[in-house]
Amino acid sequence: MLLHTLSDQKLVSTYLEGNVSSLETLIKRHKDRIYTFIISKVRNQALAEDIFQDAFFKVIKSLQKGKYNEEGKFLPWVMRIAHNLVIDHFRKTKRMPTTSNIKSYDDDFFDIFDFISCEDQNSELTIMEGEQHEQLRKIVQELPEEQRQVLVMRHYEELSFKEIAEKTGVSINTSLGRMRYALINLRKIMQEHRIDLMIQ
Amino acid sequence: MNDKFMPMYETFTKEDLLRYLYDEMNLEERKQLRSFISEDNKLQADFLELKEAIKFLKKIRLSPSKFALRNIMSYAKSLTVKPSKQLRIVDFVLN
Repeated sequence: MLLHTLSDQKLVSTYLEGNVSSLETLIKRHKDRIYTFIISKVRNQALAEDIFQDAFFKVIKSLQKGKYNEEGKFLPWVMRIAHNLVIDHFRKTKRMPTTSNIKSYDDDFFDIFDFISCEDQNSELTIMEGEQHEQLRKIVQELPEEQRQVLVMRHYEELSFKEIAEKTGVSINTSLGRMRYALINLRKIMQEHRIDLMIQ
Repeated sequence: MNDKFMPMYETFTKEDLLRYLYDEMNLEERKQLRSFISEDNKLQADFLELKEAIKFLKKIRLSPSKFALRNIMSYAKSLTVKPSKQLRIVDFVLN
């Protein structure tokens, strides 16, 4: 059985039948998205790792206790759990997560590229991938601030363009326009640097 | 610079290509836009350029450590009782 071809729902049910590999497949499928979400809020890798683990401990316990509604979607459910853990953390430390604000780029803006480097924070990366990450990081630094911010907010924080517009105080069309120019500029810079990145 | 598509209907802009790529369109809009894209070479080129850039970004990801994943799987395995083991326990109790 090719587990990676199964839907989330099917993986959950086969896991509950005793197939732990199904859970592993589920986690691998969604881990990056969930982890990126957490780290975008807490801005600290060690803490993000702890919360990520705690989220899945809760997921596993809930699944085993039959508390997962099969009609629900797995990823949004896990994201809610992770979100609540983040809020719990901030309550304990008596701080609330900041929101991105284009008028104060430096303090509030979550720059994911600060967490990406060629140092092996993820040992699954090959040397080539690590170099590509480093190249991308440098390329993105060349983008105008407004474009870089909307790119990070849409692509990594997964805010909708409407949410980005609300947070940054511009129209939806403006946030869309900035994103479009960010992507176009990204490609131009890649071509200028003659970066030949294998896009699978 | 004309940012609107060749009309039959002047209802879409180039920014709508992004809404399509990030799945922020309803089904009807998607259908109409797909139709425009298939009929307009310039639009196709714009669409592919954006799509490629997004694919490139997707290559960059933040991932939790293998250590974290191992911990989670260890925990899962400690809680999971395989059906065959469950059957043996039931057999033991009944007998």
